[in-house]
Amino acid sequence: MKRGGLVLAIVTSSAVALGALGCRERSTSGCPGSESAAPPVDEALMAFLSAARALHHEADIREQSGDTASAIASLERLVAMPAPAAVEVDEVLADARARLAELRLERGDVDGADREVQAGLQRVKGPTYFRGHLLEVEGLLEEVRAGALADAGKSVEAARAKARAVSLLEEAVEVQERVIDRALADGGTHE
Amino acid sequence: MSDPHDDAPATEEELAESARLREALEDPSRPNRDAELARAMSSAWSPRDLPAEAHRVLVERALARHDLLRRRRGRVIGVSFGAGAVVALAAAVLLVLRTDPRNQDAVRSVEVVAVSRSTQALFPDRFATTGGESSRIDRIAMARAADLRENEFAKWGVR
Repeated sequence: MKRGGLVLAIVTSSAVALGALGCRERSTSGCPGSESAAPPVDEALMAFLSAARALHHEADIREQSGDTASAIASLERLVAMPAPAAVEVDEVLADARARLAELRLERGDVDGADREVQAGLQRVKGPTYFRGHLLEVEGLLEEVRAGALADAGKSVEAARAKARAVSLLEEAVEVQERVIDRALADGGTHE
Repeated sequence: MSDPHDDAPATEEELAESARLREALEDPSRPNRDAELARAMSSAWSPRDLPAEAHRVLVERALARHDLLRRRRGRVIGVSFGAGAVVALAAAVLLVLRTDPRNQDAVRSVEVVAVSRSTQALFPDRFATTGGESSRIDRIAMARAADLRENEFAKWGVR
């Protein structure tokens, strides 16, 4: 009887220990505490958001003064900032990339604008207004590119760019519609 | 007025019964209800020591029961110790996991009210084709500042 109890104790404690080890070494799925996988809203996230806010407003002032280059510089500082891993950070950076793309486009830097859009799209994969907005900006820049190509007499390339612009704008609308559908499915609740 | 039977001589049946009672009183092994009643009344009035043999038998019987109980109790204690050891080991493992710094985030998350999440819910309307970034970051920063305050209050236990 005593031997049986000892064996039972060893087997059970080994199973508990192995299970716990599995939780620590592999995925946290199904393990205690894994329900809340997202990091908490903390000082690091808030510090990033505060800096991003300040730099956007700084860019506003410079843009209103007609100093687009300085406005771009403010936003470049924003996208280069060290940032914690958080959904909010991805969305804010995506939005900053969209604004940078618009400013570069204003200055005729289509390729630079395209790079900003692509970098932004890497940050937001799901259906959100942030992604929809980036696709919209990309569509606009393809439209500008098509005009420039047409002006340069490159009608075939211009037609391709125009088709790409239409496709991107359609994709933007599709994303926006998915966002709206999801919001309606959630009962239209907002924070 | 006296009973006319008081002075009547004992019948043979009465004499035989009387003899059986006497014998039963002299020899307790003989079964006799009247003798048992008489002994019980006598013991109640002036109790005597048990005969040595009867005492020995009673003690042995009691000790035999006690040994049986002790063996049963020993088994119960053994099983209880085994189960207790398992529970204690499991509790120790959990304690180690919970006090491991790598698991502190998981413990803290219980206290945390607001976690990082998409800000999409802050924007019921679609974005304007151009502009609006500053007003969006304003809204995001204000919303998350409120979340951070909630988290701090929760950590301080003042919610």
